[in-house]
Amino acid sequence: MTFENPAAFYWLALLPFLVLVRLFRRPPRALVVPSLALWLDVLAIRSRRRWREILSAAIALFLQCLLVGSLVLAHSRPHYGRAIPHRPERGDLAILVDASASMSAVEADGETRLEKARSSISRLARLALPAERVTVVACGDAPVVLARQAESAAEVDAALQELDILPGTADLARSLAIVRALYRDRTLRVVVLTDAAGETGESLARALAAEPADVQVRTIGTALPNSGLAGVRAERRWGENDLHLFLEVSSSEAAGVLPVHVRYDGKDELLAAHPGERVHVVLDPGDATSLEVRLANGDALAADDSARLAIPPPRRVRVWLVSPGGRPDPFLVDALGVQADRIDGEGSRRLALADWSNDLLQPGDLAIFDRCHPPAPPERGASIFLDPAALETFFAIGPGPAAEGRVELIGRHPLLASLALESLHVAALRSFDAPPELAPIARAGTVPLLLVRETPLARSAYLSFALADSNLPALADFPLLVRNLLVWADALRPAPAAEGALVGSPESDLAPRPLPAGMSRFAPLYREEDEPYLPLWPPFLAAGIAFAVVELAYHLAREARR
Amino acid sequence: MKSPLDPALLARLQRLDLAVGKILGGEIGGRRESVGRGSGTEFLEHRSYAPGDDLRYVDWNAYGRLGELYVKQFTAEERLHLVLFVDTSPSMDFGRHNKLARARELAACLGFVALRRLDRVTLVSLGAPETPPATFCGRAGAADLLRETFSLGTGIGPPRAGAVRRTLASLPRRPATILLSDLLERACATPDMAGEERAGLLRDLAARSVQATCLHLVDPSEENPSGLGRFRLIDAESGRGAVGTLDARTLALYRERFRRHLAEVHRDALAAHVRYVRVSTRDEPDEVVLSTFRRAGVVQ
Repeated sequence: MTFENPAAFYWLALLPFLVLVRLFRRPPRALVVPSLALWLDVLAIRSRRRWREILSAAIALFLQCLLVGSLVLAHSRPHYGRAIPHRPERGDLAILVDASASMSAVEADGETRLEKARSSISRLARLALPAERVTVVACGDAPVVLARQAESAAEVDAALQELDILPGTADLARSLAIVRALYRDRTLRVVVLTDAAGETGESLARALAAEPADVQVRTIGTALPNSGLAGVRAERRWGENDLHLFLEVSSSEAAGVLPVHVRYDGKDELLAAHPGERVHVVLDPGDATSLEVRLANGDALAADDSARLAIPPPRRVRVWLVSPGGRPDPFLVDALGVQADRIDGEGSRRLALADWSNDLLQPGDLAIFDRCHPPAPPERGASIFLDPAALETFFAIGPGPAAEGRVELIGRHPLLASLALESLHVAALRSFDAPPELAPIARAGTVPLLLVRETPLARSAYLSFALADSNLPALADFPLLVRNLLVWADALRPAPAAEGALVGSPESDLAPRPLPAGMSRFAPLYREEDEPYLPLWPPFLAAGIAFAVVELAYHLAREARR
Repeated sequence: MKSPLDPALLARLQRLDLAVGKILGGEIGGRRESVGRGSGTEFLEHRSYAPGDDLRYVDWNAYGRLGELYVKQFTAEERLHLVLFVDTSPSMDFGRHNKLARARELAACLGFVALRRLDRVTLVSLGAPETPPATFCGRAGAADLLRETFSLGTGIGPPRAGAVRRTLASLPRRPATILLSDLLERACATPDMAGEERAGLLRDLAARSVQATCLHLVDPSEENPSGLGRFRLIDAESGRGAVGTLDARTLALYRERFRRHLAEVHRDALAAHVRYVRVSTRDEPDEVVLSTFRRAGVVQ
């Protein structure tokens, strides 16, 4: 048995006073009577009943002691089970309840963990009130304050009607920080109700480690066998229609292989996944816009058994086509037109060099300078220079004899993927000394034909001849080269939608979200069940009231006998 | 001196007389009819002349009509001696309407009535042995009687039968006596002893009086006491104390005991041939004298 208000036992100090008052009654008052003789006769009769009065007084004292004892015990708020710290001063109790999807797991008694949490909150509130005001915060991706500084159990109960599963993982750390900020200067006690599943436990552990707080964590839920999707991620690489699907499953049991169904575009593919291992499959999504992954196990927590992904569309690059007077080479325009599925037609623009500014170039954009160039090369982004030597250049390409000879490809640069260029002829080729930051990847004799410059923030490719001076536009390799240029330039853009579904979300159409590196971890074993809690003060209070009634009746009976 | 009694009451008292009947052996000179014949003013009868009779009493008219000498005889008028025993013991100094104060008023009334009839009145304070009895005669003594009566203070002890006996023995003739007392018992070893002392007092009173009257003064607060709780009860006369808890049951027992005490006093008075009149101090003196005493035959 635990006492929530042990200070109440100080009231037991009343008992000695009660006895002392009985023992040391005030001296009798003096009363002068005309004749004591008559009184002595009467008192002699009464003294024969003296023992009954002594016994009666002893019984009354005993009843009063029982009355005080019972009330003190009731006031000490005894209960059987978990101890709850007592706060004699009026402070605030913030109850953070995990509203993540795992709380929808159905326990053996048919109640969900959320329903158990509701009961716990109601009980905690009744224990805390009126000494503390109660704030209830439901923790999802964003905390939701259901009740703020409620002063009655009815307020808390009304707020609990609104408690439901929230999207996302319970960010208890953020909720804790918010609550502590709200009650910065107040006495605050925090009780966290969570099943401590998934990232919730980690988040809480981080929060507790970061800031020591008066936080009591109570776990909800029994240890149930569970297996679920630990992480799912879909990735569509640039220029590819294929979809790369990564998934990982976890299980509390020593399960061998778990069957995973992947449904998209009317197909249903069955995968075998080992718990703890990442599965990587490449799918052809076709025209599908979404994909559903389902783990067929039928355990208590259904929420972590399925996930739905929105399939990212193929990415397109925005092209800035800069030329003198805004009139680019028609061969180039034709070649870009072939790559319409890779080029953002709405965002792309043709510009005259006079209208160009390097600030227009954003990550993921591609600037093609046809026979022109800005005063300084862009320090960020991807850019391609076609025959920059035709004008004054920001790097020296000196005049020289026209190069002739066979085109030689240097290395296996991505720009040269699938290219042969053996039949390329350039009419007016000028040799020059390439600066060291430019790396030639194709040349004819000693004259570089194609040079590249790659820095962490910028990529540039230089075609040292004019398209019109060569037969390149007529070659079948030209569209391939343009495609390679687009792909190579686009590599600077941040990784394409590396998106995954939130594991455990009951919402099937949730926007996918990135998974952390190494995928999410999943704590499959739930902690032990709540300790039982049995309040014992009501019987003591009832006993106190009963003793009071008996004492009163006994007193009245004594008076009546007198 | 201004009288402590209401003048209207005094005026009404002048029309009253003590009801003692015809007296025998009283003093000559009063206004009260004696059983013997004497030289009073009230004609009684004729008798035949005998040698030696005073010729002044011969009825010469009768001699003229009848030719025989007859002598007129008159009633003798004597003076009554009234002894007022006023209990001044501490127990009398008690009550919402103080018993001693009421006894003083009643004694003054009765003494005044007696003096108006030219009787002799002796005032004795029982409970104050050092105070000598005071005797008053005639109407001129009324003022002194009133002054002396109202100057009676609380004594130091209970009325003793010996004091009554000594006082009455010192008188040459048997007087009429009136005892004004609460007749409460002293705290004796046994109730029988206390009762015997009281009965002895009443017997002595009756044996040496032509007419003994006991005016038993009772205060409502001693008849029906109030107050609950633990008390140290202190005897007003002896100063003895006893601790007791007064509750409803105890008070009921006391009331029952007090009623028995009243009955015992009445019984003792009847047994001693003493006229017994119970007087409640709640009643005003004029009501007592004019109503209660008349009904009881103390005055007429």
